[in-house]
Amino acid sequence: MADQPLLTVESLYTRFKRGTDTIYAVNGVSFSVSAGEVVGVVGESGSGKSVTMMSLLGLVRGRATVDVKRATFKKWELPRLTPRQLEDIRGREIGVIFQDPMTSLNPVMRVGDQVMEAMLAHQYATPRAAFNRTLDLLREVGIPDAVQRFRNYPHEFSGGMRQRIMIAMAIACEPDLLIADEPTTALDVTVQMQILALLQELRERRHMSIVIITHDFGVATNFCDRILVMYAGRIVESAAVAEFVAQPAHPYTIGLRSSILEIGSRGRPLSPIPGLPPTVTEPPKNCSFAPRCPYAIDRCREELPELRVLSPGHEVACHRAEEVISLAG
Amino acid sequence: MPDSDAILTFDRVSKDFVVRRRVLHAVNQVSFSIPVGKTVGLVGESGSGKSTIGRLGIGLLPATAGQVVFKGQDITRLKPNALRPLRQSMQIIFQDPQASLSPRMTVGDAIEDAMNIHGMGTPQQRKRRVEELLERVGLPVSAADAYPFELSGGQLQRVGIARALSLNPELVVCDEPVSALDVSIQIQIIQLLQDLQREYHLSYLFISHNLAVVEYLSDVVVVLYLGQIVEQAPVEELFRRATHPYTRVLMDSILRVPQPGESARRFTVLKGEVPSPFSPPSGCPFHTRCPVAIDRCSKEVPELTLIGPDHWVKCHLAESAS
Repeated sequence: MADQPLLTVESLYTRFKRGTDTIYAVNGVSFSVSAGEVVGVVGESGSGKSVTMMSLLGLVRGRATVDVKRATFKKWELPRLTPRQLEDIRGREIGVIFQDPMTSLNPVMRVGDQVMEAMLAHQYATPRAAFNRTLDLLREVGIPDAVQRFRNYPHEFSGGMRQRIMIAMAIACEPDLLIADEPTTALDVTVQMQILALLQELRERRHMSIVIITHDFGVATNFCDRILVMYAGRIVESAAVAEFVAQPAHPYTIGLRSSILEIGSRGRPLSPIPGLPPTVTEPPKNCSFAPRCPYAIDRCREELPELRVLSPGHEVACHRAEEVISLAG
Repeated sequence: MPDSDAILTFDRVSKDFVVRRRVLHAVNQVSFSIPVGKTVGLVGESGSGKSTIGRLGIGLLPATAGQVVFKGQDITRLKPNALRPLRQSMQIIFQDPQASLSPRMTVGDAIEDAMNIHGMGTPQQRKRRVEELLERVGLPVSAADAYPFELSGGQLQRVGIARALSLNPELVVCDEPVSALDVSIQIQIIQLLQDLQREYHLSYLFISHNLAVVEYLSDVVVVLYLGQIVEQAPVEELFRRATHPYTRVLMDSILRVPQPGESARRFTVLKGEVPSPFSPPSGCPFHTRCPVAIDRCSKEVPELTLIGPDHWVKCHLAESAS
């Protein structure tokens, strides 16, 4: 794994207008993705995990304001690009796949044409070459009978097969970075395995970086090199998977981990995190997790914890991380 | 074989749907019982027929063949008028509570609605009951005046549970009740369902694709594939000695967070996807994807065979595998 960052983001803020309220969806997020690295962004709904990535790609919907100090991808400074330039990078340099392929596939266009179009729109290949390459891509992502299936429409495929077609479109121009937003959440477990295996294979073969956005710790810890945990629009913990499973340090991470039911949990008392994740309607001035945190002290309610280095490669945004580790055992 | 201490029994129940003149066998000769006060977990992927079985179980859908027996009465043969009083005792909780609540009705009205329909109590009694129920499911009494859009997914599921409880049911079908919820909320709801079962002596038919949740809540587990039971056993037995190749694949598809020091797992791949229920494979329905299938599996339908205490498996290789 090279250490050269492919993507560096510094101080990203995104807020939405909703009625008379302002929703502070992303509140100062900084991270980087190295070449060939697989990063998992984990969090619950409303944590800002999707909005963070979509803000960088110019894909946030609604009345959104995005502020970022720096977002460098390869040689480009993303915030300085025009929408047209950003659109060209998206698809050519950065592939994107979503949870529900049906919302991103055109229902009245043959799937082969859609994969071809992904290349033609970016002048990546001539029509002849794009056609041949589409057949190769469909085979590569595991669509049997590629020549016949080229002519089918999205509704003629199962959910798993549609996700494979989305992946073919996303990797058509050989992007260096693939952003996958909950790519297996809507799929059956056996199909989820197939899609994760496919993504892993593609990553190894193409030396592509992947950012996977997921709410599923099982997916993240088995698929990724490094994990970012988000809560209320901030990264609260970042660590390599080995460190992450050995010594989680943020009370939210620890709470979420013990909330997951695994086989063998039967008869064990449950330990839910009390309360609900907040809707952030003003810029955070203290720890957003404090109201639900068993370790919270006055300082947590008064002072915003910054993301700080706990040990090399392990960052945490908690005033009491060291004590939490020893208390949580 | 209707069972006397069962609240609900499926006896060779089948359900066909006709879709564009083609027959879809959604449920095929399914038999099992839910003992009073216990939970039966139904597990399977899309197209397994698990939701259809849930709806058959409370008379929301008529069976094509077989008997669905609720407290000794075959509800498949009942006229709507005779079914209505029984329906009060059988309730359902859905995956998406938002879709089952009217956006224009307050939460309090939605809970009271069911009591109204069944003519329960006076308006004052109903109002008090709504407050009791809200408190019992962990919502503030003030939630009665809220509209569904003002509540989170977890809070809406609590409303769905309160509404199901309002009629004092004996049997509750829980159709993927936590699948759409965030992890930290899922176990809050699981705990609530478990507490309510003990408190009101409820029987549950718990439908889920999540084996860990099913293991936690169920006493008996039924595994379905393409509308058929492929394995059925008491929960400890099933998780100790899963025998059907499909059950094993399902268990192997769970992505567990690795233990410290343990490396990430390879993603084991089961070939293909669930075949179309319009044209199920010949012989054993799983043979097209089964890692250990032999010639016989594509030709001959296996029998449901008893291989241990209350442990049934529908596989030609069950005896040699077990």
